[in-house]
Amino acid sequence: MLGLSENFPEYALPGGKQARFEPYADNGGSIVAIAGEDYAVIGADTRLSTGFSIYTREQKKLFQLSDRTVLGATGCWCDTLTLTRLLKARMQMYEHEHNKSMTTPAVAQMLSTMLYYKRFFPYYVSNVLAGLDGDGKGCVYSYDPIGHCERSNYRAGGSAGAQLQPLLDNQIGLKNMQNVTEAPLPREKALALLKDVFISAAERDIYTGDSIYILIITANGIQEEKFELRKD
Amino acid sequence: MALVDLCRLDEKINLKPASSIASLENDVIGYSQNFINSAQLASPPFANPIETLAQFNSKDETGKDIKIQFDHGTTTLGFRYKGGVLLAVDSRATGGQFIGSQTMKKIVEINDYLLGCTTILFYAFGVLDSGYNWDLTDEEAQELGRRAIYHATHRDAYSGGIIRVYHISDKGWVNISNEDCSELHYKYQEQKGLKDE
Repeated sequence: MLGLSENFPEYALPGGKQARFEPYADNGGSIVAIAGEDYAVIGADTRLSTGFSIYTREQKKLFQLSDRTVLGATGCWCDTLTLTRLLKARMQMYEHEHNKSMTTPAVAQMLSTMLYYKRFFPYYVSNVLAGLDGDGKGCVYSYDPIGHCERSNYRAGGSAGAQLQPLLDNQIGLKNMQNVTEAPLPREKALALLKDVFISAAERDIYTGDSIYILIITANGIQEEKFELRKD
Repeated sequence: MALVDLCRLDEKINLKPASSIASLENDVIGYSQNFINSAQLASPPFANPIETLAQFNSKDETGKDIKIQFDHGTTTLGFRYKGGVLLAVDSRATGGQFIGSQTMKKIVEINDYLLGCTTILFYAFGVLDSGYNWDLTDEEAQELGRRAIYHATHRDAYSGGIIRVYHISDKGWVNISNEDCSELHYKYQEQKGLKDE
């Protein structure tokens, strides 16, 4: 390497210093997904930020991968874009090769494999996948950064994940409660709960707010909805 | 081609559409090499991955803390006795101090005769050592494994959730029980004659 200051002293900047390479950014954002008997709802807030400033208040963080699968992804936004583009390309390749579209569990497994490929320089993305499985039942998959994946019926992720999840555990999982009977969760109640928990998160997390973009996945297709949150 | 270069037309028009499609395909394949060979992982684009990654793992450009935390599972145990092999595990997965999951499956059911699990925690050894001998009955062995994990979950904050017990004999594996730690806690308290007020 040619040392700038030794070989070309006239080009060296006085007081110049080496910048550190910081490949990751945290652009914030939260996701909640809830699965029922024959539906799944997934919502993500629309605030995209860096540090204490807001890039935009209308960034959708949900990616419709097929007519029965939606991915919610937050974290380092550039990583999110790369990952989702790759996912869509791979799903298209699958469709050409097998002459059918991928089921949600198949996409879930493929995402896990893709994340693990970057085991030693991971994507900084919090992923929650929601949709209908092969039997038409609602399903939710959540991931750690390197592809550990678990299926569940409800999950929160992203910057307010740790605040949202306990509320869902209480309201949907009925955790640590006695004399409660588990009953299937109606779609309207799931939707109302999703909005409620986001209102609470926007109250305490600076990276969550502005509005929620919601997708409701049923056998009849995907419906979208928008719900306003605090904008401060 | 010289005129094209001179006019720098190649910067304005894509003169080789076919090769750009090929490069996109190469990109897609290149970013998921492990689809073809599952043992192949992306090598990081820098030297000394351990040190360099640790540096990335501190702050972003605005000074915000970046924490890439993987889900970790901790407590599993297995022992041999005259009736075969007994495996017992907890189900808590932690990412830093956050409990990522209380229902993780740490035993992978590979086939009818094979189960996969990895890490062993020392918290469980005390109980296991004190109760173990080769001639345990099946029920005693199952209870020993369950108890050893229960005591580990009680003292180790990184362990908890559901305790799963598997028994493997020459007929293959059987999932004996999946019990919640907190329910086991009160069961064992009651056996000791203790009751919480």
